[in-house]
Amino acid sequence: MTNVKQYFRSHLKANLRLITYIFAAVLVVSFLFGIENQPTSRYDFELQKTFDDYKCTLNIPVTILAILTYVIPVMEFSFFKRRVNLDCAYALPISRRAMGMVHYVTGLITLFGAFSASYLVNLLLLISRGKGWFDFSVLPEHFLLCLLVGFAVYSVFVFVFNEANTKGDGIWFIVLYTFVWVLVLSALGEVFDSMLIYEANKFPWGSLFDLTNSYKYIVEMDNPDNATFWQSPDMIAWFAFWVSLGISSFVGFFLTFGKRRMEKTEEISDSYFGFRTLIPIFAVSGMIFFGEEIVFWVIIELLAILGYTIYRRGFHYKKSDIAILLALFILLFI
Amino acid sequence: MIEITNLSHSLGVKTVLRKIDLQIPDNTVLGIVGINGAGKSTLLRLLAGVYLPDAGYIRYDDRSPADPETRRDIFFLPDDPYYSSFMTPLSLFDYYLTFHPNMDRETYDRLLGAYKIDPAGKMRNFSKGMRRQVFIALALAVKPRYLLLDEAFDGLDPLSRKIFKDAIISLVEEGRTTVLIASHSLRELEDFCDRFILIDDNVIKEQGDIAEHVGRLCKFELAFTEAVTEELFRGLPIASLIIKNRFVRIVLEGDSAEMRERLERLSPAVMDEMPLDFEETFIHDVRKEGMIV
Repeated sequence: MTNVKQYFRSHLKANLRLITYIFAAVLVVSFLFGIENQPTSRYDFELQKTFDDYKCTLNIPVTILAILTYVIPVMEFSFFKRRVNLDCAYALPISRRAMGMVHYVTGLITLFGAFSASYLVNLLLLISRGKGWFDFSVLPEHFLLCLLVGFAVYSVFVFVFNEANTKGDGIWFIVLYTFVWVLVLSALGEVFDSMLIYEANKFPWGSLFDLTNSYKYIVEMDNPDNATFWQSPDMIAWFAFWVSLGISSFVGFFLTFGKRRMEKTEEISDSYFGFRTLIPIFAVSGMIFFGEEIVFWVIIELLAILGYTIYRRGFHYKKSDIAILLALFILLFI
Repeated sequence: MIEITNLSHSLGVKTVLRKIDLQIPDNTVLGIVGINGAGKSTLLRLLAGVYLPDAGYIRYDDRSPADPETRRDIFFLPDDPYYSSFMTPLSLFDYYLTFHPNMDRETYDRLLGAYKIDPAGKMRNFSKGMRRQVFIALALAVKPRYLLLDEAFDGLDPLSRKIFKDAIISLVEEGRTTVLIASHSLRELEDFCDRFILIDDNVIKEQGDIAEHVGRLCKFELAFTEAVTEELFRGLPIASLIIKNRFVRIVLEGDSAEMRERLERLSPAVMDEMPLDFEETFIHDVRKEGMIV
């Protein structure tokens, strides 16, 4: 345990400069976008006075949270994608799992810290407008929900990034996992003809922005009817889906990180959570979703070939890859 | 004592080490030799706990290197050690101090001084040899019970090599460090290694005392009054033979006094026994095994 604390301290110290840059960038961006918030003039007939109504800019910290869930897993775990680094790191007197957890926690602290700082800047800017139009009492609830979704998406991206053997493949995995749910749920919505599946079908952050809009309505007291929007079944389904996925990803990361073999680093990323499964899923879901549009099917076939070329780093396809490509090709004609 | 039992390891589909058995007593300096790709670095990584073996096991006094606590007693210096772009020799020391709280600052400063390294300089601006010197100073400052060095002499100038060798010798003389060193600089290994192992074809082909091993062969240069052919030397235990008209360089397997006597029977005009070093012995060994031609 002492080793873990010491490693955590030294890791934090080593990354302090980078974390400081992130915080500085987040604060500057939050401030600049916050003060850009232009008011709408409203005349109060009772008081016979003109007021400036400002819009609630909760989308700024949420956007920052969304961007950082992509940046921080890459920043924290790229270290583990180079053999040169691991030669020294894995010889240190600390377990690999503990080392992974230190990087995970550091990333989560950076994510939550930067989001909180951005949130605070926005809140202060809103308060400074001081028109009494804002009901801030619901914001702690919104803040905590954002943190929960932030944890979930960050955990998913940390898990999939670490399923890759190179930094480049890891970035591909994160990008693919951003879109895979949309495509799979769209295909399932088509197959089961379910509106719930169809409406719950959002990018990781799509529904969080919807949810944020609900809170914005409350804060602005503009259209209170919209405030309950986030309690709709599709939103709850989306929320439950991502939180479950986040928890599963965290457990998966915790269980597998210590068992990863160093000699696989920089090799082809052969994980079942990676290209191997994602390419067929994307292709089949795409074909179902686009129905009988033959042009899209041809594009999907070509994208699948491109996918396998990236996966194998060239045209060194394996029999299983060729079998899948052939199967997709046959489907094209059926 | 380090005990390696039935150790096998593969990298992808390629078997690198197969059923290795080895015992390394405490306070030994063991040289690990072999041609490129023989498995020297893989063995060191397995010993450091960086690789987890496919089969068999490694024990440091009954403790596995997979256990982080065992690794507290081990320092592994790979051929290309990690440093972050912001690191200086001072911050590198602080980083390792986290894991080896008993590191000796005086040794570190002394060696950096001997190598004329600026402790506050950015390591990314150092040459490969300078970075090597910093890590060597670090390894010696840790004073580990087990020091594992991969291509330790790589990039070092002759003076730096001498400082390094002297420091290793004094560390071992203090009586608590076992050093395992993989290197292609066999002449350097010969100076301070007690024992060696030769890895080839996934297994340990040769092992033993370096002086004894070198003593198995003897080298002579002879001059004859007339041109000679290989036929003249038939029946001798030849390790290598080079004939240029009347002049001959021959390496023989066996006791040098006996071989001198047998060569004298061939009536050379002049005969000199030449010193033979570990590197030449290694070349003869690998030629014999068909590793190189």
